[in-house]
Amino acid sequence: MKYFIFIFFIVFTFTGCSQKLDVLPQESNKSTLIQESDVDEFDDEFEDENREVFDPLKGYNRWMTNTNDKIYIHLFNPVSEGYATVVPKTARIGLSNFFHNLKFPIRFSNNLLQLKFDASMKELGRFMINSTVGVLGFVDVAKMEGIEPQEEDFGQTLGHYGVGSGFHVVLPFLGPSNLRDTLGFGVDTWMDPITSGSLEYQAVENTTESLGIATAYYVNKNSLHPGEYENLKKDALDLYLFFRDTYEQQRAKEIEQ
Amino acid sequence: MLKKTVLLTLLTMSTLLGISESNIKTEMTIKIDEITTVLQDKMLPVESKKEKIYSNIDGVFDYKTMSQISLGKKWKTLSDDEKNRFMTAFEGKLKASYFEKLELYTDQKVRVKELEKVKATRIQLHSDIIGVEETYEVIYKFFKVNNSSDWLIYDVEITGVSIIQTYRKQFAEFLKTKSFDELLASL
Repeated sequence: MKYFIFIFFIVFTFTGCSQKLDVLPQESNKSTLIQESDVDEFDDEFEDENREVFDPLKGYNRWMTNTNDKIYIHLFNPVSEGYATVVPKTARIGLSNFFHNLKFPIRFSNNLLQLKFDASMKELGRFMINSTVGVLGFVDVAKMEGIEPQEEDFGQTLGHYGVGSGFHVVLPFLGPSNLRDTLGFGVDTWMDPITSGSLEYQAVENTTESLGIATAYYVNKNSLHPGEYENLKKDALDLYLFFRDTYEQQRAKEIEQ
Repeated sequence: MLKKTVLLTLLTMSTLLGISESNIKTEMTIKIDEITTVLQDKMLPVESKKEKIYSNIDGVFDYKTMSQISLGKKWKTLSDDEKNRFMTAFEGKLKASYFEKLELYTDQKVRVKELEKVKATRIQLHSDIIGVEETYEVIYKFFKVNNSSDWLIYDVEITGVSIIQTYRKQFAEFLKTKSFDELLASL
């Protein structure tokens, strides 16, 4: 018994000493605290947290972010939820596949423009398989066979050739974007089969029709991601800065790939 | 006998719970599988799910290092007490956020992919969450603990978005106009 008291005494004093050495007294046995010398290494790895971002539209962007937020919470999400209760998930996934398959020209040409021939061929293969065996694209047969979609858009193509993102722009309804990606979105929309345009394969009659299709596209897509927006929002201390930062990080990564 | 007990006690108290390099992939695969099983268990109440998942990840996520990096230069200016309060708050925030994200993806499959050694002290484990539409890439970033062969997670990157980078930026912006106590309160 005496021994045990002794042991405990030793252990306590010992931990007491090591606590002094450590910057953090509590739970120092549970995990580490990196050394001062390592901090610099980590600091180099992450972007300078105090770097000023060139954001001339900040005022408008903030306002648009809040407006979009209200639209998502009070209109877009409830509509998507209502739609999800009426249309079964399988049908919604089918429709999502169908739209995705139709947008093939965007992915194909942007892969080609970036000279990613392998990826372009994969996209072409996917389009041929899914449009036929996949019943007009409703079933993503190609993915089941392991041929994954090769997402590319014109914003990424521009980025690939070194075009900088320019300043941040929040688009109505669509959310975060920047100068480069807004231009890219314009070009992609121009060649998008489900918008009204002058291209041969564009069967959509007029702007009203293409807006209707776009709404269906986004509501259907959103219905497959319930709760995601609200969930993401919880991580934000400042909604606008959070979306701006995560968007730019994500795009930088997509362009790099 | 005495010596042995003292030694043993000291050993258990100072053991780091990291993973050795050769085990990262296997252990992480096991952990991810366990998490998936817990999430898909419909009988389990939310609180016990949380408990199980937290105890599953506690040994590999280094919340202290995460706290330190996320505050950047501010960290050095804090008192020990402030550091402690921040770490507790941030750990809680990270865990809650992680759990809420997991809950969204209960029926999705996870595919653990390759291990990439970025440099002598950094390893990245690539994995995919296969959703109904898209596939999301998740990268677990490990660092080598000083003077040991253990590795711990200091950041997670989801579809190109680094969690710690995002907090770092937000905290710095926040502290430009508000106080440290207000930051703590908002966590």
